[in-house]
Amino acid sequence: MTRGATAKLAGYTGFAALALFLGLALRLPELIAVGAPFALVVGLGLLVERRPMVSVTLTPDRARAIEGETVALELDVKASAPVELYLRLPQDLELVEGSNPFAVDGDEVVTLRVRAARWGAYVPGIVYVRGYDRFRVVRWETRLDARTPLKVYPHAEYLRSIARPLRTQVFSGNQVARERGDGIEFADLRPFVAGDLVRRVNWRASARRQELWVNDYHPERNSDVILFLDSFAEARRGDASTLDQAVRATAALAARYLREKDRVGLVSFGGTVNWLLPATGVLQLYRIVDAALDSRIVLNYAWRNLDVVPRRTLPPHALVLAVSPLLDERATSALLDLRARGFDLAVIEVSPVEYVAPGPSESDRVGHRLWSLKREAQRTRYERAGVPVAIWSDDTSLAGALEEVKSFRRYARSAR
Amino acid sequence: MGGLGLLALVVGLVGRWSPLLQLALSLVVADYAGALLDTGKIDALAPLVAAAFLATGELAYTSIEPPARRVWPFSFGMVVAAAGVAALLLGAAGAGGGHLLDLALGMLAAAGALAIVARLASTASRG
Repeated sequence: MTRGATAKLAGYTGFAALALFLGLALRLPELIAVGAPFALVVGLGLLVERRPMVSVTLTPDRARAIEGETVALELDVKASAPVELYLRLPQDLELVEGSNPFAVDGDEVVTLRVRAARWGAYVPGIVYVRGYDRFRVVRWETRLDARTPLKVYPHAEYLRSIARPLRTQVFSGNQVARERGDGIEFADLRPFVAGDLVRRVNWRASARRQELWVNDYHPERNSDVILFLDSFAEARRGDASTLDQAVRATAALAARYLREKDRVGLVSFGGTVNWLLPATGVLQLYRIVDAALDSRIVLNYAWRNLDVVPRRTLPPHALVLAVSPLLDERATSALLDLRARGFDLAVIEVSPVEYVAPGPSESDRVGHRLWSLKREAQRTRYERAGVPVAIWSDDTSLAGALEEVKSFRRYARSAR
Repeated sequence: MGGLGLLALVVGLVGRWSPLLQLALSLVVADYAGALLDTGKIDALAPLVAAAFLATGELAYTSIEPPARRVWPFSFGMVVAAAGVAALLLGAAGAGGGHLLDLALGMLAAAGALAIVARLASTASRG
């Protein structure tokens, strides 16, 4: 702990000295009587002061919360003397109940309720401690580290339907495969061949054709979905940014696909590259959301391509669903590269146009218009490559953007 | 001088600048000294003046470095004690025939004795 004098110590000492000096010089006992209490306060304060022993433990009432929810932070303070404490809160954790700074006298448990205004991984717990002697002439200060992680997940967007991959995998799932096999979805009729199960015989068709015909079915299979989160660049206005929206979309899509028993992986492609191998289950959902929460725009001029992404992260026949503002050329090139390698690709463009207002001058407006046209041209490039690009802006919902992807894919054909 | 002191006090409080508070108290006490020289008699109200000075100092320094916990009862006790100490010193000065050096030394000795007692008491309570 750092020991320091308060302003009061200097002020009272100076005043007592002046009063005593004037009293002696001018032979006025009243001035000595006036200065004496100040000298006493200083003397007593210096003699009774002692270093306070303080320890703080921070426990949130839960380790994970949803954006907008209130979390109770319980501070268990053990102090040998009265002290004042201030818990430094991250910018997006707003105090809604309790007072900060606060004072404790001895061992106390103080509860502060904070509202998580924005998703993110937070580590609150830096506590500034200040203690005074009884007369407040000496100050003790220190900083304690009681950091505890608190993860705030984004609001999940409601998605009624999702874009399905063109090809399925071999494990059972909820998607009707294009292949034929064991399933419950009728596919076609064909003549009986040796080895067919008797229960597959279609007796009506067989009676009509005077030979045995059997039903063919489509099996229900799962699929692989890779969420491609572009974190090279973002457009920001105030608290909102395209990365915020992209993380929200990633979390919502991961939850929806995992509910369909699909294997979902994540590639966060930006200044830093993170990836998660495709897997199923609730645990994978937490892994994906946690990884997405850690996504930050890291300024990096290094040219990155898909070579930095491990091969196993992008399994064959997987649907790659990119969530990107399409602002950085490295990301847009990587997506086209994916398409060129035969991946089933769809792009949800988190529109940065709302975040960038045209400037006041004519040339600014022309520049903004040119930028918009360039973006249109880029979109056309994708569509020519058979990649649907759905614009997700403030006016549309994520479900609407996905419908756009689905309608494009309904008529487009996969080409190699 | 008293007016200047009040002005310094106001500016110090508004600007939260502690050296001005000390200057303000010093100016006012200098003004008080001038008034005492003019009258030439022992001021019977000096204990109250001492209490008023301490109350002003406590209020001023508390407002620029506010405590998170209520300290008014203790400060009030200090102000009352200040009046008592001042009255005691004035009484001692009157009884001793007005030897100021003795009075000042006595005051310092009393402050020292009280400080030692407080130190011993705080050490005992810690143990």
